[in-house]
Amino acid sequence: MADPREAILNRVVAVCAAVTGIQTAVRNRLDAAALRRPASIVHDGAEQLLDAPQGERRSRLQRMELSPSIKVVLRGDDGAEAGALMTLYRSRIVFAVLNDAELLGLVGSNGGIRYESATVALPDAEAREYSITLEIIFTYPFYLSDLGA
Amino acid sequence: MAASTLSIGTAPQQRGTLVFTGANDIGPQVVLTLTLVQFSPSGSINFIGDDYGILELTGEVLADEDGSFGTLVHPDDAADTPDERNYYLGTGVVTWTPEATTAVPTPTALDLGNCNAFEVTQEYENKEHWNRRGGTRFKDYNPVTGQAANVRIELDEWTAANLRIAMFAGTAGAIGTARATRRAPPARAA
Repeated sequence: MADPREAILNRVVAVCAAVTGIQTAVRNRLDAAALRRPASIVHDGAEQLLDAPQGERRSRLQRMELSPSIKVVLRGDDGAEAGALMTLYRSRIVFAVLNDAELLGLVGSNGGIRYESATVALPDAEAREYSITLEIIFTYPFYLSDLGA
Repeated sequence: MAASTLSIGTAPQQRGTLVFTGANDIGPQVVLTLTLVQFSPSGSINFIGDDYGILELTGEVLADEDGSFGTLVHPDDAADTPDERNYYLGTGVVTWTPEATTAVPTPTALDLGNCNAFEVTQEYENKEHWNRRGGTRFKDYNPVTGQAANVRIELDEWTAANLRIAMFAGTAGAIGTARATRRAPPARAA
């Protein structure tokens, strides 16, 4: 089996791109090309050890937590409209990611997908751009042998 | 969807077959069948709290006439060691099939929903024999004289069917039945 980390991150971008209303989804970029809005920008984030079998000393098998951030950037005429739009896209993306059969298959029955947080950044002065960052945690089995596949 | 009224304690004999079917990705997917389990009251059921409610059930696993408490099926009898794919991280499905009765001769298996724990404990009774012919006594014989097994599960889906097992409950109509079978107190002498 291929390394699940890359497969999960690629799939998250694809799922975000397919969400109704999202104009573009990019990965590990500061912004979307041509400033298309609403945009979804996925940053790979951290991959951390969750647990490992007792006595395992070579990381042949362990469970990892992958925590990419999904930033949604959009335009709003005022704060109230932007707030409603950010809630809308938060709901659509969280629903899409947590129900995606391919992602569920990648994390497997010993892993999981967990919606962790949503944070709205302070808007820039005079700007009409707003952003909300979603954190979704993917827990999956890590096999050292997968890295050589 | 209709409400279900349970009569607590009117079905004290909760006996049946408990089956765990592994669905784990890490490790072998074993199937454990405990042929006859008799549940007994265990931990308290917390109706108010800041933690998710748990229905804890403990039971005695009863042996058949051959002394077997059940079976465990392993998917690969030729698994080599050492191999990290033998490490086990359990997850799976637990079903409960009540013992057949005259009223329900062929009961159906009930999926107990999400199960946080499924623990089996085996107990042995031994009769120790000590050799005391020297300065230091030493144990030289320890035959098994008795065996028992217990199971503990933790459910977190508060369905009426699960609560019926956890609270040893029958349907509400059973209240009258239970009272009717109680013996009347002896009449006082005048």
